[in-house]
This record gives sequence, C-alpha cells and structure tokens, in this order.
Amino acid sequence: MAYMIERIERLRAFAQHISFVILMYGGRFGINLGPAVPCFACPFVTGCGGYCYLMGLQGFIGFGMSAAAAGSLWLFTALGWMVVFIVLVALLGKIWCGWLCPFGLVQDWLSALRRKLGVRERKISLQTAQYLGYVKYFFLGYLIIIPPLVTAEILPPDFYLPFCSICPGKSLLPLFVGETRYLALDYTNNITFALSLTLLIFTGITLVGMFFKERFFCIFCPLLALIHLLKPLSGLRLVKNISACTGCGNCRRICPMDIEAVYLEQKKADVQTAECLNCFQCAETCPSDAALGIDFYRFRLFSSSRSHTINTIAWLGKQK
Amino acid sequence: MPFIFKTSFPVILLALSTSLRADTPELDAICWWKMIGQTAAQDSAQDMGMSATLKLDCPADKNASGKVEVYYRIRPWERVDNVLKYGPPKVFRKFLETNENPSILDFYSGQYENIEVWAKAKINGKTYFSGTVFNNYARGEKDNPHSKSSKTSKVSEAVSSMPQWPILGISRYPNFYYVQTGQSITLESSGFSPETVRVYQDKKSVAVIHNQEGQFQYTPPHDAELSKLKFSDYKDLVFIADLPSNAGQVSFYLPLHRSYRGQTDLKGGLMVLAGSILLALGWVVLKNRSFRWRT
Repeated sequence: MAYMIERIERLRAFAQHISFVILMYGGRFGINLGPAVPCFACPFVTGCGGYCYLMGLQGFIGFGMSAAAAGSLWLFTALGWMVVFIVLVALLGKIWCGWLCPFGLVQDWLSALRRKLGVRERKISLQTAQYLGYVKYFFLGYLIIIPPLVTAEILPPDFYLPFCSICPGKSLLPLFVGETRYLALDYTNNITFALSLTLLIFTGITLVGMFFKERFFCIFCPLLALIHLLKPLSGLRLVKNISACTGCGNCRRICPMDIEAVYLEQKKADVQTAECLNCFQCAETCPSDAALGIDFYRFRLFSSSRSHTINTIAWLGKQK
Repeated sequence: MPFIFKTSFPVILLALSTSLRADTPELDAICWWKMIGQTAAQDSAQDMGMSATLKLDCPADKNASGKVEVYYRIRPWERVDNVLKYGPPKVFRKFLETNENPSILDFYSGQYENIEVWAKAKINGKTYFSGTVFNNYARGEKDNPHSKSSKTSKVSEAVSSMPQWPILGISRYPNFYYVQTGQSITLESSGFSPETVRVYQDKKSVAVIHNQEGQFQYTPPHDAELSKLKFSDYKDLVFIADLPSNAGQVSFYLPLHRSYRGQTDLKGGLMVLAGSILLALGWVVLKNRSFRWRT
C-alpha cells in the first residue's frame, strides 16, 4: 500500500514543502499573499508570506461591528479580502488543507517520524470521530461569536482574537523561525493567564495527538469547517461511481482522516465529507476503473484506474 | 456591623479624598500636557486614520489671561526599501490662550506619524515648559494635512525648527510603539541640568529619579488596573523638573500603556507544555493495547 501511494505522496509533499517555505518565510523575500489565505499561514510567525484567514475573520467580525468601521474604506477592504478568501476556496477547495497548509505539513512530518520509529497509528473509533467532528464547528462558532462581544465591551479586550489565543499553530509554527515567546505563560491578567494556559495544554495534547494520529489537528480545525461550509461554491469534488466500486476498502484504509463514507456510500456520487482534506490518496489507490474521480466543475481531473495503480507499482519498481 | 460601617464610612471617604488629593497639588500648580483621547477615526476618503487630542493643564487657565506658545514637530513614517523610517519633519507654531478652558489641540493623522509637542507658558511670573511625544497610527498611504483645527487658537504657521527651550525628552527606549509598563525609559534634559526629576503616575507621586551623567532612568512598574484594559488604553505618566532659581518647571508627559508581553514566564510555560505532553502521552500509551506494529 505504501508503494502504491508513493507517487502522489511525492507530488503532494513537493507542493507542501514549497507552500511551507512561501507561507512561513515568504515575507523575508517580499512575498505577501495578504490576510485571506485559507490555511494555517500563521501571522504570529515573523516574516510569514501570508496570514491565515481565521485571524482576518476574527478582526473583521470584531472591529467590523464597531461604529468606527461603518462605511469606512477599512470595511470595504475587509469585505474585499473576504471575497478573495471565497474565490481561493472556490478555486482550490480543500487542496489548501491537504496540499498547502504548513501546519498540515508539520503534522505529516510527525506522522512520518512515527512510521520511521515503527510506532503504529492510533485509530479513533467511528463514534468518537463523529463526536470529535463537531468540535471544529464549536471552535468556528466560538471565533465568530466572541469578537462582537468584545467590541460591545461585554467581554474583556483580551478575548479580541479568541481562537488565535488558543490555537496550537500560534505556539508551534513560530518555532520554525526561532520564536519561543508564544510558549510562555502570560501573567498580565487572569484572562491572559487562562488563555495562555489553555494554549499550552492544547499544544501539548495536539503534539502528542499529531504523533499518534495522522492529521490529528485537522479533526478540530475550524478553517476546515469554514471551507466545508463553502463547499457549494467550490468546484472541486471527489466523486464515486458506485457501480464501478468493488468494495476493496483501499480508500478507507489509506485515508489519513479515517473517513468511512467514501467506502460505505451507496447512493450519492459526491463523497466529499466535512473531514476530507482532498489529499486524493483514496482516488490514487483505488484499483477499479473510474470508481473514484476528482472533478473540477464539469472537468474530470483524475480518474482511478487499474492501469494507473499497476503503472505506479511498476514505476516504483524501476526506482528501486 | 452597621454601626461600624456608619461610623467608619465618612472616615474612609475622608481618608480616600485626602490620599487622592495629597499627590495632586504639584500637578495642579504647573503646566502639563495630558492626552485626553486617542482613537481610530473613520475617514472614508483616506481609509482609517487616528486622532489624538491633547489638553494643556495650566494653573491659571481660568483666571489669568496670557498666551501659550506651542511648537509641534510631526515626523511621518515613510517606507523606504520596505523599511519604515522617519521622513523629513515638519515644525509648526501656534498660540493658545491660557484663560480658555480647556486648551485643546487635536491631531489627526492619515498615515503613521510621530508627534512631539512643546509649550511655553508664563503664568504669575513663572515659566512652564511642557512637552510630550506620541505616535499616531493610521492605515492611509497618502499624505495628510498635518493637523486638524485647534478650537482655541489661530491657525498654526510652519517654522523652520523647534525652539531651544529647556526640555526633558526620551533619549532611549526599547519599544518603538508604545511606552509600556515594565520597560525602562531613559530621559535626557536639554537646555538645563536638573538634579532630580519627580515622577507622577496616574496623578500620584511614584518616584524621584536622580541625574546619572545627564540621564534619568525610570521603569514604570506593572499596574494591575492598567493590565486589565486594552492595549490602546493608557494612564498619565508625568516627569517634572525644576528650572534653576525657582524660575518655573519643565514637565514631560507620556501616555503609559500596559505591557504587551512583559509579564510572561517562558520557563513556567515550558513546564506546563511538558506536563500536558506527558499526561497525553501517558493516556495514549495506557489506552493502546499494543504500542508497536507486530513484525
């Protein structure tokens, strides 16, 4: 199985590493992709090449609700960035998660390390995964509801970036540019202390989780939830031809998010679930002709085939 | 209990009022700038600007008539080779009337600007020099009028340079943006050489700092009340020095903000992180039936 996915994994890993360099260090070379990047391009990384849209969204919802923002050019700019985010999601969908997210790559590095050490992946039961799947919507709700309450001065100002304050990306990604300050406890006041403590506990749990479970953080990622909510706008689809499926179960076994729906689906052609990262490993490893395909609007980008799978194995044989 | 409350309440009130007043007479007797507002201001034509309002507190502003000469220097931040640098300064002069209440100056910036303001007032035979420096942050890229109208004086005139008045000013500060608690401020006097500088924080006398080779160093302590406010909120920090021969006083005002990340503990944070990693690791190991793949 590992050999079968080697080719697409290399292509994906290449895209991830290029994206990692651009989004983490791009600012040092004058690259600025703006505040609407639909993946964890953390603004707390000095010299980053773009900002995760979650931060922009929190600021937009918070400050955008204030009287000062009404009718201002700032508001129009913020709306403009929202449009940019929607366009980026419409164009690439969850490619941002599976192929371009720097935090996703960090997770993949930890998984690779686990495999090298011969430690097996810890699987989450179907029921637990179902419950955990709701957590990302909780986080999305949290980061949307809290900023207006701060603007209305119902909550103290230290909640002004509620999700960033507890996001493990904020503590872990700056380590790649040598910044450890977000691993500190903040004693400024009770709220900053509680938020920094929560951040550190989340970071610890996430680090261990990412090691034992592939793409552990993606289970909770509110950006994944947000991108999924925009799914009707996105033209990228994972499509199943039920009649061609032999039920071999490759798609279920290979999925880093342990998605069962692609394997189990017997009615709908569209099998892209909320958890899907568009890594396309399922389509790549599917040995049945046209059983799984990747569509971009009406265009078929990739179609699973027996010959492709055999060619991949043969190509890998030559590489060896 | 009610009896104790009834009898002690007026005493507490009296003590509170005297303690609050105890430190204020010196500030009441001199001229000093006070920032009474600094807010992001909407400007649909120029994006988001920032407006700051300064008030000059003088002892005789209600009773005696007189002119206060005010100079202000505005240095815009310009982007040169993708680095923010101070652009060429512009200096202006205007006059305020001491008998007008309040004596207010408004500064509106459509781009990043550093603003220094100095005033000279002669009241009851004494001369008071008052200074302050602050930054206005704005998002606009285009140049903007240097200042909006002042309600109390004539239109300002452009002059070539600042006057050579005796002043107190910042000579070294680690933070470029805000003056924060917990960070050391180094002041320097120019045009006079005082032995001591008195420090008032939120109208209360907090320290007397001594001249050390022409410099005065003060580190404002962290303030629990300020720490609960927004980063943009501030308290008044006033430095006062006497002019020779009892000729008057020089004051220097800074809006003091809460520390941005000065009250953090990396070692404690790393311990919490290590603890949570160990707990999570323990949970995973205990829950796993078999830790490694079977070979």
